[in-house]
Amino acid sequence: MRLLVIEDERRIAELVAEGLRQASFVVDTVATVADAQAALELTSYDAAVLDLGLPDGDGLRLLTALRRKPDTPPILVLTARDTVEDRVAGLDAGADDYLIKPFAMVEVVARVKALLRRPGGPLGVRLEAGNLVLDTVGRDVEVDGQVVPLARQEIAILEHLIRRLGRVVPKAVLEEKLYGMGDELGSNAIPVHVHHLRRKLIEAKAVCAIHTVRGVGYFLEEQA
Amino acid sequence: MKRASWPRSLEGRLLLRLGVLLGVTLIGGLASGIGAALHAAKTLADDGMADKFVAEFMGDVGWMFPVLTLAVLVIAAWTLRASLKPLRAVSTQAAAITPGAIAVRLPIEDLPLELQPVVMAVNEALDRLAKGFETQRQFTADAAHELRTPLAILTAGLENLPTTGEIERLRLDAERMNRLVAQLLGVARLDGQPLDVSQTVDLGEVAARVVERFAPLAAKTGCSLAFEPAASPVLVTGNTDALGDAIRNLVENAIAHSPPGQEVTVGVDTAGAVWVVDQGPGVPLEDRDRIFERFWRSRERRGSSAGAGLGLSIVAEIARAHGGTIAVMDTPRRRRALRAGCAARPIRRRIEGHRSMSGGGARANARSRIASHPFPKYAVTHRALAGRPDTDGPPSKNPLWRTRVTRGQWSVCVG
Repeated sequence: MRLLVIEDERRIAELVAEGLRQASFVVDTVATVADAQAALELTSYDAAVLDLGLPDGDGLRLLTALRRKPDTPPILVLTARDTVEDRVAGLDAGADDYLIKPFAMVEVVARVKALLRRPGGPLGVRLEAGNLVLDTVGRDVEVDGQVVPLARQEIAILEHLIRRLGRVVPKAVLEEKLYGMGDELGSNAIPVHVHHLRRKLIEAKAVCAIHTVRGVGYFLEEQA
Repeated sequence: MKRASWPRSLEGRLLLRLGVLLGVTLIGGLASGIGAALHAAKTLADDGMADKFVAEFMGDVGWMFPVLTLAVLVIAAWTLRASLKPLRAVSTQAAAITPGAIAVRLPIEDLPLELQPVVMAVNEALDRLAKGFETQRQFTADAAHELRTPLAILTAGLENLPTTGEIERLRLDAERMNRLVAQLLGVARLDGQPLDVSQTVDLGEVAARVVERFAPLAAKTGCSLAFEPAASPVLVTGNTDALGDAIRNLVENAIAHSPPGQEVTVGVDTAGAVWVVDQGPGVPLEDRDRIFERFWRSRERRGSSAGAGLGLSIVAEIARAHGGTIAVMDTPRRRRALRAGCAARPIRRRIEGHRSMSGGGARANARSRIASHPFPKYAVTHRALAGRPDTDGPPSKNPLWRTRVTRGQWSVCVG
C-alpha cells in the first residue's frame, strides 16, 4: 500500500516515513504544496499524511483543494497547532483524522491503518486484529485460520470495533448501527451481545480483547 | 496632614469656596453698606431722609445679594455636573474592561478638554496592554510549534529504534518531556491569554469525550475508566477546550494514582459538577491545600520522574477562570459538603475530582481507622465551583455517592 507524506520538516518526514515503512507501507515524501499536488496527480495513493504548515502555502488550503477532486485518498493531518479553532478548521477542510505534534509513531501507524480500514478502503475488506481476521464481505471471523461461529449482530459489533481498533466506539454508535438489523433493541442488547462476543473470542484464544468503558462504550485492543 | 474634613469632590470644593467667598462678600458688603447707611443716616437724619434711604437701598440693591449668591452657586453646580457627566459614561465603560474584553476604549468626545489627556493616556495604556496580550499569545503559539517539532522528532526517532532497556527508558523520558511541554504551554496560554468563557458547553459531552480518549490509555496502565453521566444534558457557560483540559488533567492525575485493576470514575451531575474518583491512597491532609500549587509534588513522587506538578494547578486555574474553586474532598462528609454547596449556591456548577479509597465497614469503623492510620484512607474530591449552568435543575442525586453510602463507606471533608 502506497502512502504520501507531505511534510516540510525534513527530520519529521524521514522519521514518519521510516515508521510507516516499518509497518510495511510504501512511502513517498514531498515537502511542498506544489510537489504534493504533482505527486497526487501522477500516482494513486491509498492515504496521505499532511503537515499543515508548509513553506509554499497553508496545508489547509491544499486539503480543501484536494477534497474538491474525486478519488482523493483519506488524509491524516499532523500539526503543532492545537487550538479548538484549528482542529475544527482542519476537520471542516476535509481532514479524515487529526494528530497533534508531538505524536507517538505507533499512533500515526494506528491512525493510518484505521483510515485504510474504512469501508471501501484498501484494508476495509479483510479486517485484522492480532490473530483475528474479519472478512467483511463473506461475514465470517477467523482466529488463527479457524472459523469462529458468531451471530450476525456480534460480527457487526466486532466489525465496528476493529475498524476503530484501540479507540473507543461509543455504545450509542453501536446501537445506531445495529438498529437497522431488525432486532428489537432492549436497553441491554449491546452489553449482552458484547458479553457473548467477548466469551467467544476468549474461547477461540484470540489475542485481542474487548474492554468496556462503563458509561461510554467499548474498545478492542490487540494484546502483546 | 489629614484633610478628611475637606470635601473630596470637585463640586463640593468649588461650592464651598464660592460659598465662603460670597459669604464674606455678603457680610463685608452688608457691613460696609450698613456703615455707609448709618453714616448717611446720621447726616441725613436731620433731613428726615434716613428711613427713605434705607428703604430704597433694600428695595433697589440689597435683595440682589442673596439672589446673586444663590444663582452663582446653582450655576457652578450645574456647570460642573453637566461637564463631568460624560465621565460617568467613561467609568461605566472602564468597568467593563476585563482580561477577556480588552478591546474596549474609553470615549473622549464629550469630555471637558482638561480631562481628555487623562482618558487618552488610559486608552494608550490599554493599547499597550492589548499589544502585550497579543505578543504573549503569539509567543505561546510560536513556542508550541518550536518546541513540539523537535520533540516530535526525538520521540519518533526513539520509537523507530529497536527496543532495548535503555531505549525504553529514553522513550519514557521523551514522553515525560512531551507532557511537561504540553502542560507548560497550557499554563502559558492560561496566563497570557484571556479565556473566553461565554460558550455554551455540554459538560457531559466534554467529559465523555475525555473518557473516550483516555480509556485505552488507562487500560494500558492496568486500570479502567468509567463515566457516569447526569440524568439530562448539563449545559453550562464556559470554555469547551479549557473544561476538557481540566477534566483531562484530573483524569490523568487519577490514572497515575489508581492502583492496577481498579476503576477511575468520571461523573457529571445536573448541578454542573464534574468529579473524578480513583481508588488510590488519597491525598494526605497536610498536602491538600498545596496540591493545586504549580510544581508541587507529593513526597512520594518528588524523587520519581513521574509528573511535574502542573496538572492540578492547570485545573485550578481553569476553575478560577470560570469563576469557580477547586477543592479536595472526601466521601462521608462529601454529601454534606455537596448539599451545603447546593443550598448556598443552587445554580453553581462545579468541577470535581475525587480520589477515594474503597473499603467497606461501618462508618464508625472507618473513623477509627482514620485515627489510627498515618495517612488516613479517604476519598478526595477536587471540587471547583465554576460558573453557572444554563439550566437550574434540582440538585442531582449522585449515583456514586448513593452506592458509597449504602456500602457503609465514610469520607472526610477537607474542602
